[in-house]
Amino acid sequence: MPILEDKVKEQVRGDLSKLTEEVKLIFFTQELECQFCQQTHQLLEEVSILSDKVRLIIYNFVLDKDKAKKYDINKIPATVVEGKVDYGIRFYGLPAGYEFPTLVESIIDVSRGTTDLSAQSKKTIVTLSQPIHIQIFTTPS
Amino acid sequence: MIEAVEFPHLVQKYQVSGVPKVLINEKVEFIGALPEEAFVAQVMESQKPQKEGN
Repeated sequence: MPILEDKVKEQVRGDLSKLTEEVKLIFFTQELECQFCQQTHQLLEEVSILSDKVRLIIYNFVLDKDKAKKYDINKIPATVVEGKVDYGIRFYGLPAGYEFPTLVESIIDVSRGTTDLSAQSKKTIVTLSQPIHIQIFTTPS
Repeated sequence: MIEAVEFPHLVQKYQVSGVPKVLINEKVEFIGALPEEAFVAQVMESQKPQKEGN
C-alpha cells in the first residue's frame, strides 16, 4: 500500500520538476528491516520515482560499514541528502508528517546548492570558525 | 532531524520534553521554532566558550 497519496505525489512531482542537478538519497537500513526502516525505505522509493534527478542508494548499516563511517551514520533508519557536495544533511527516522515537506525542500536546496536564507544570515554564518552540529528532534504530527 | 518516537534513548539523553527541540553542539538548546535571525544568533552563540562554572 503506497504511503504517499496521489495528490501529494503530483505536488512533489511538480516541485521536483525544477531540479537541475542530481540529488542522491542515501539510505541506511538493515537486512531484517524494522517497521520504521521498512516505511522509510518505501517512502524514499516513492519520492525517487517522482524525479529522474533523484537517485536512491541503499546501504546495509552492518555490511556497508565503510559507507556508514564515511557518512558518520550511527543509527538507522538514516537518510543522507547529498548533491555535488555532502552538506551534512541527515534525516534519522521516518520523515513523515511535517518532516516530509522538509525532506522535499532539502532535496530542492541540495540540487540548487543554495538556500533561501537572507544575505545577512549567509554573511554571518560564513564567519563560523568551528564545526556546528545541529540536531532537531521532531515528531510526525 | 531526529524523529523522537524512534529514538527514545536520545530523547532521554537530551531530556527532550517538547518538539521541535534544537540542540547545537550539545551546548545551546531551545524548544520551538525560531525566526531565521534568532536561529542564526543561536548558532553563533554556540561558538562562544562556556562560561566558568557552567
